[in-house]
Amino acid sequence: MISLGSFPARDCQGISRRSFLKASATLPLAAGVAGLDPETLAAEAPRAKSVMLVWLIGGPSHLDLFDPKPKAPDLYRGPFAAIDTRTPGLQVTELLPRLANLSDKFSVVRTNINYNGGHREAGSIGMTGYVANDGGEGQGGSPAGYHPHFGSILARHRARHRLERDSIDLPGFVSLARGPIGDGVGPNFGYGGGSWGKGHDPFMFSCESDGKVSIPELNLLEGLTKNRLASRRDVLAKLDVLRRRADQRDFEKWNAVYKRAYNLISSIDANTVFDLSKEKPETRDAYGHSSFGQSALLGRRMVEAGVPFVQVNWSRFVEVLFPNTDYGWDTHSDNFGLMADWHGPLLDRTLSALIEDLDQRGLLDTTLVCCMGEFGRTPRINSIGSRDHWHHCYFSVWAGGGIQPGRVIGTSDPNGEHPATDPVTPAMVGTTMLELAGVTNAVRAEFKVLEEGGHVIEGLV
Amino acid sequence: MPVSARVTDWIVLAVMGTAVVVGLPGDACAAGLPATGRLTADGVLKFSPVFINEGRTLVFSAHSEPSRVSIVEFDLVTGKQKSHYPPGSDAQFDIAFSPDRSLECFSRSGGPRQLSLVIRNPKTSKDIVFHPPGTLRSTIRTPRFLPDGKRIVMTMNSPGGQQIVSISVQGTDVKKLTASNGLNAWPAVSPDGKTIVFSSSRRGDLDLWLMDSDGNNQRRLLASPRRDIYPSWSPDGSRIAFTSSRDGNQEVYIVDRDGENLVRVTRHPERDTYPVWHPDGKRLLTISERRGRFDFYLWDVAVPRSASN
Repeated sequence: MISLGSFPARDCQGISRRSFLKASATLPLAAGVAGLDPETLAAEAPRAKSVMLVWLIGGPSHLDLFDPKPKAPDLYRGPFAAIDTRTPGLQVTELLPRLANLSDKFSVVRTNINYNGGHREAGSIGMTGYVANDGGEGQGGSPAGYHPHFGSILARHRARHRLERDSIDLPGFVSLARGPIGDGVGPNFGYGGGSWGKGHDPFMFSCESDGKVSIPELNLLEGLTKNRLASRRDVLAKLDVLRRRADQRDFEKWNAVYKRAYNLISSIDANTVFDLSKEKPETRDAYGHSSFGQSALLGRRMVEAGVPFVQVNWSRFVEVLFPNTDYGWDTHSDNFGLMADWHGPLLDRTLSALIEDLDQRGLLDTTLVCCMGEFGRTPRINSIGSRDHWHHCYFSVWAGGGIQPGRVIGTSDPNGEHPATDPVTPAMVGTTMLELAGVTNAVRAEFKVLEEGGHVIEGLV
Repeated sequence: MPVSARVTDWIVLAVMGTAVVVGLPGDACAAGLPATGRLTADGVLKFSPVFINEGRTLVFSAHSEPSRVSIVEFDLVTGKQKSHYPPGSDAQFDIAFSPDRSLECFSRSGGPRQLSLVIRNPKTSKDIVFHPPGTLRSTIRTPRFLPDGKRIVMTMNSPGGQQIVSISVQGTDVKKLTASNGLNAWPAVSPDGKTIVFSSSRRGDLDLWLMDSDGNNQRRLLASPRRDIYPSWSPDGSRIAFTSSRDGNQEVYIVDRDGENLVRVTRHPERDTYPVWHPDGKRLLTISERRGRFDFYLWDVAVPRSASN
C-alpha cells in the first residue's frame, strides 16, 4: 500500500525552510495528471502501448554480462565463463543463466556508445539523447539545459493523443526509485522535463523489498499515512500547520502539487495499482524480494493500468559501497565479487521474471522493455582488480513492443573496447523507443526533439 | 589431483530443495541447538557467515538496511538477532574471529575509502586499519585469521587482478601468497593452519586451488567449466564445502581435501551459497535463496548416499 512517510524536520520549530524549499523544488509533476493539454484525440495504436526503461544506474560491466570475451587476454577477460543461449551467436556470462534460457524473447545491442564518462552527465545523455546545451552537470548547468527525457516526450504526446487503454488517473511518466536518481553529489539533470520545464518531470514512487510504496518527495507531513489520508479533515489540519510554518508562496506551490498527489492517491483505481499484495505470492517471489525486484513488479502493474512510460531504476545512487547509497552498479572496487554475489544474479532473476510475466499476461507484444545503464565498464581490468567507467562501448537489452527478438545487434571489437560495427547512440535509443510507442517522426519534429541523429536502430525492429 | 571426481548425493533430507527439520543427536537438541532445516525467515540478503560460541551463534553480513551492509549476530538458541557493532554509516562485512576471540577483523567501506581491513580489539574497541597505499580505492575481502592468531590471510587487489596475501595482526608485514594472473579470492585456512584453499581464475574460469600457508605448493584441487567459489574447511580438515555453478545453477558441493569423493549437497533451481561447517562437523550451513528470499539452512551431511548423480 502507498504511504506518506515522515519529513525529517531539523528541529522542534517545525519544518526547516531549506528542507521545505528543496522538497517543493523537486516535487514531480506528472504531465498526464497535470492535464497540460486536455484534448484527447483518437490515435492509431502503436506497437508499444507502454515503454519500460529498466535503468541500471552506475554502469554495468558489459564483459561480465552480455558481451563476454572468453578469448580476450587475462587483463580483459574476467573470471566468469561464457555460456550459450537460445540465440545463435549470443553468449552471455554464467551470471545470467535464466536470461540465457529466455533469449528468444529479447535482443541484445552490443554497440551502444555515450559521449561522456561521468555518471550524471552520461546518465542525462542516455535518458535524453543529447549533451546539455548549457554545459551540463559538470559545468554548472541545469535541468533546463537538457532535452526532455524520452518518458517526458511520450507522456506529453499521450496527453494529447491518449490511447483508449491509457490511464486517466495515473501519470504519463513514472520513475521508480527512492528519490531523484544520481550520485552522491547530486541528481541527474536529465531525469525529466528538461527544457520543457518541471511540469514534464516524472512522478516518482519508491518501492521497498517488502512491497511498501511511497512518494519520496511527499514525505512531508509527519504521521500522515494512507489510512489518515482517508480523512480530508486530517489532511487539511496538517496543511494548516504547515501553512503557518512556511511562507505563503512556497506553501501554495507545494499545495498545488499535493492536491494532485492527493487525487492520485485517493483514486480507487490508482491506489489499487500500488497494492502489491494483490499479486499472487508466487509472482512476487519470481521477481525477487529486493527493492529492484518489487519495483519491476510495480512497474508491470503500472503498465497494465495504462501508464505509457515507466522507468524502473536499479537503485537511487550509482555508488555501490559508499555510505548512505544503495548498491548501484559503480563497481570500481571488487567488481567481480559483487557481480557474482549480488548484481549478476539479481538482474538475472528480476529481468527474466519481468519479461516472462509480461509475456504470460499477453502484455509483451505491446510493452517495450529496454534494459541498460549509462555506460559499461572498462574492458581492461584496473589497477585494483576491478573495472572503471567505459562509455565507448556497452550493451542494451530489448524486448517486446515491436522488437524482433532473438537477435544480436552490433559487434564489439575483440576486447570489447569499441564497436566493430555501427555504434548505437543515445538518440537512436530514444528514437527507437518513441517511434515504437507512436511518437512519429512528424510528432518529434513538432516537439523539436530527437531530430539530429535520431533514427531507429537498424535490425532491432 | 583428480579434477573430475564422481559426484554423489548426500542424504540431505531435502524435498525439492527445501530442508526438512529432523531430529538431531540427543545432546545437540538437549542444548537447545537448532535441528536441520531453515533457521531464519526474514529473507534478507546475507553473506559471509561464521559460527562462534561452539556453534550456538552465527555472525554474518546482511543488507538489513537499504543503504548499508552491517554485521549481525544471530543467537541460534534464542533465535534473536542483533547488530554485532553499534550502528554507523560505514558498510561492514566479512567478519572473522581470532581463535581466542581477542581480535576480530572485517572489511569496511566508509567515507572516501573503499574496502579497508579493520582489525578490532572487541574489549577496547581499538582499531587497526590497513589500506593498501597509493589509492583511495582498494579491494580487501574475506580476511581470515590463521589458527595461531598472529596473522590474517585475505584477498587484496593488485594491478589487473586480485591476490591472496597475509598480514600481521598489527596491520604490517604484508606477504603476497599468490602472484598469478586473474582473480585469486575467497581464501579459507585449514584447521591445522597448514593449507589454504581458494578460488583462482588463473586458467580461465574460477576453480578451487590449494596452497601451503606460506604460498608454496600451489595446485589445482578441482576444475569445472563454471565457477567454484566460497570454499570452507570441515572442522577436522578432511573435507571442503564450496559453491559451484557446474550444473548451471549455484549449488553446494563437498569434496575431500585430496579432490576425491565430490558430492552434491543441495538441489534447487534457486541459489545455494556460502557453505559453512557447523563445529560438530555433521551439519553444513548454507545461505539459500528460496522463493526470492535469502535465509539460513542447516543440512545434515553425516551420511553419504551411494547412488551416483
